[in-house]
Amino acid sequence: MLVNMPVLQADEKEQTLKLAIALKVARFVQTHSDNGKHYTIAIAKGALDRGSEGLLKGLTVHKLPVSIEHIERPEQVKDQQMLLLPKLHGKSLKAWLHAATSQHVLTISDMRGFAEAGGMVQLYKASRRFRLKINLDAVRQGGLKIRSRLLKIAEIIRRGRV
Amino acid sequence: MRWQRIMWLGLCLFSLPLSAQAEAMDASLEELLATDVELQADVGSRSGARALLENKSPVDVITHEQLEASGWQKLTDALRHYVPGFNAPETSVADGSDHVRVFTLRGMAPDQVLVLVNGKRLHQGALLHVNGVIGRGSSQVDLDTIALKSIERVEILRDGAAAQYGSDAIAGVINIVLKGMGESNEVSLRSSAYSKGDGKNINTEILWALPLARDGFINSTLSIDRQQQTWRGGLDRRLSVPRVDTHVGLPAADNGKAVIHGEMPLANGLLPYLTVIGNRRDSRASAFYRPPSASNTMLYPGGFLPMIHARINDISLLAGIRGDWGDHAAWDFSHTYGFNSFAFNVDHSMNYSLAGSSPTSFRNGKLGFTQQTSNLDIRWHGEQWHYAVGLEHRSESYAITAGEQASWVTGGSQGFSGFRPENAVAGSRQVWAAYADGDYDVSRQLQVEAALRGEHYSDFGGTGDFKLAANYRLLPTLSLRTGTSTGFRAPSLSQLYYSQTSSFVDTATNTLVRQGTFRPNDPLAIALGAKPLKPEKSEHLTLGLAFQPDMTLSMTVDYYFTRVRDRIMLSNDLSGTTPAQAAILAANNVSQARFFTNGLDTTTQGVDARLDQTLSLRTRDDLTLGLWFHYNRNHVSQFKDPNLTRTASFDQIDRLENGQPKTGWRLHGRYQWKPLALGLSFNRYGSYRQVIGGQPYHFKARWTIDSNLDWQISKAWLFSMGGHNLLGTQPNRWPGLSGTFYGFDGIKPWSRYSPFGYSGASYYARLTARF
Repeated sequence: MLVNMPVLQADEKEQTLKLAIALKVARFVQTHSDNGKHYTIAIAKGALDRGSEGLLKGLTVHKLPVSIEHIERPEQVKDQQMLLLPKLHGKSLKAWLHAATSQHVLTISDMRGFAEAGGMVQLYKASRRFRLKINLDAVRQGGLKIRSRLLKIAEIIRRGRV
Repeated sequence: MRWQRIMWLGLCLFSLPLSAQAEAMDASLEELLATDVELQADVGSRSGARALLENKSPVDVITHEQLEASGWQKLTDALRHYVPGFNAPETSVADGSDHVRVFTLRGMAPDQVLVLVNGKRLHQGALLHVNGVIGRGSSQVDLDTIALKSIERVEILRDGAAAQYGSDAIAGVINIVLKGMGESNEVSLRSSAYSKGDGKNINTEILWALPLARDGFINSTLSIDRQQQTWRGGLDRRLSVPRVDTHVGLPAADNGKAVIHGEMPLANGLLPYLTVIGNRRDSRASAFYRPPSASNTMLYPGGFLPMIHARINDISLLAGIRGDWGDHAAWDFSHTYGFNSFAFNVDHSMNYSLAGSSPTSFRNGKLGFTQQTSNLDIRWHGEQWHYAVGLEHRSESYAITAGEQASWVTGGSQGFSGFRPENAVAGSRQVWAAYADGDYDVSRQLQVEAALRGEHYSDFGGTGDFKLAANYRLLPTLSLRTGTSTGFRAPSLSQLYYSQTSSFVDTATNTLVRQGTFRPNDPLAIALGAKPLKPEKSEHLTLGLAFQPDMTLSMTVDYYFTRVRDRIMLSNDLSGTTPAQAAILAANNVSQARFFTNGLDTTTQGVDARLDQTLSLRTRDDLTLGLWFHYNRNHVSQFKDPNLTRTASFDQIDRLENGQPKTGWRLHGRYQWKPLALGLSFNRYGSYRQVIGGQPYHFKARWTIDSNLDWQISKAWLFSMGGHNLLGTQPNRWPGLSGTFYGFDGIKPWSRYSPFGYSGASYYARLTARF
């Protein structure tokens, strides 16, 4: 008998791992824009596929339940604590980063060159494992504080401003 | 406990339903960053990397950690260690074939394997194997031109894929993926030797990883090694006091390899990339010893050992640029230049016809092959579908440069006669191709793929091929994969243009008579029945199961069937067995002739199976186990040219059907107890046989054992030591064959087909620094 069960593809598994890492990073970052009720993660269009955000249900960050918002434009960055971004370039990327920085929102992406382009936390893969790259200037510019434990396990760069 | 947590995390992430994955969200960041992403392969589909349960065709992925742990220094040896059905015998006293290592998949021909670097076609070598070696009549890619430290992983697609990649992808496709961003600098020093004290090898490899702006990089790898010969020959009983005088074993070689691979992302999102692979090899191996005789004592009173000195240059230069169109489309334009040259030189020899005035060193001519490939690929993807279309233009040229006159005049230089001016040639062709590939997720369980490819060759016209494949997830942990396709292999330019003839004085007629290999378009070959070569055509079927209950356990079983029509082979050695043939040969002053012909239809079928498991035994302990099995049966189903018959070419046909092991077993274990890791492999090579003088001789199956020990001294330093073929297993000697050259008591007591060589046990030590 064939069983109809949820079947995860390799890219979905990888996405789950990325999402778990992003969530864990969030727990090491102190934000200023807590609304007191939820830890809101904004997911820009294209940043996640196939409803992986379902995995975040019931989880907490800084003792606040995680909530998800799907957004499509930089103007929608408001009152969230984290923004997941897809692959973007040029003016579009700058607009998103500017909106997030001005709203003190943590930006995370696996886009190549993200941290150097002014993003705060970049995930990248080397030898089958994910690594972190943090742009400390961008984090500070956004008014956020990162715990030293996170800085110890990430590659730190201090260049690129939004 | 951390180690076990990471294992558990892998289990959750890669096997269990969503609830368990959500639990994985509670893992620590350090554990998440120490979790390996599932192995995926790019080869076999243009829709992006696929994992084991998603592949529609069997694909093996060999990681750089595995390549390093194998202890081997050459890619061919490392792949023989890891890939079921990959055969790479070591031959000697076989002219050029001593210097370029032959490899095959599933017992098929070396030129029926396509090799890619980062998905782009790698050029073949210029050498054509013409001696009685595995792969006789084919030119192949030289895998040992690439430094091991530059490689991120090797993907082996064990299926026909000509509908996706074009000519040659009949037995399979090897995709070598080079290291990318985020690499550490590395230096390693390796030394090895055989238990008999010879065959010493010193190797230094350096990887310098230079990060560039926007996560760009340039990884530069340099590898230099010096290999000494091994001597495993038998006594030469032609001498009054028999002694070992012929070099039978590994050649001596000085080898320099360089790989530069870089990507430089631009601010506008475009990604230019560049790959340069270069290899220079000076390799020396002998022909049979020449005992003292009236012909040579004026120069060599005690006889002499001619040494064939091959100078091989190989370069591959790939430049390209990639970009995106919106969120759902990407394009890639690239150009690859590949060049390989093989210069024959013979030292410590003489030309008997020149007697005392003969030189002792000769330049015997050079083979050259150039390939330039331009590709444009465009891909689109949606939630459930991926499409790819592409165009390719390929330009190929092949040349033979004649040797100096003394190397070929009359009998030519002893050991290897030079290429004559009549052999010199320059041939070329143009190839245009267009292809389309579609991948559709019909449901969460069923994925299907269709591919079409048309090619036009300027020398023989067009071909068209298709591939249909599917993957059906019977269970979340079990998938059924199947595919059927057609394929082809264009005659290589070496098969079209190679000729080597020698001449001697026929004392009966007192005339100069020629013999050797003639081009298929040579008037003599045409008179003897040669026809213009056409492509080999193939049909493929695979059916297999993949089972992966969690990240620690995987099992695959695949059946395969391949039919090749019009396989290109060398004809019988035609020496006038019929009156008509004798008349043609006599009219051209030729004593014996052979040429390439589409002479055979063959079938290949068999089974590949593998089981891999990783066990977490105690805190910090890992045990990785692998059990791999391969079976193949090659069979000549039809003879299509009267100049190629089972009787007259029995050695050639038997080599094809029985010259390579039909079975292979490997039991591999690696126990990791940080900072130590101990690896142990038991390898069983099936029986095979070789024909001498019309008589087949059987060589028994053999077991070999490899072992290695890694000691991670600190984060920066790794010390490794180990051995290959630790018990010094050798193939059995020729059973019942006594002879001067080939025989249990002869100069060559072993078969050159031996899949693990005959040099015996070797040991190595390696020190690696990462910084």
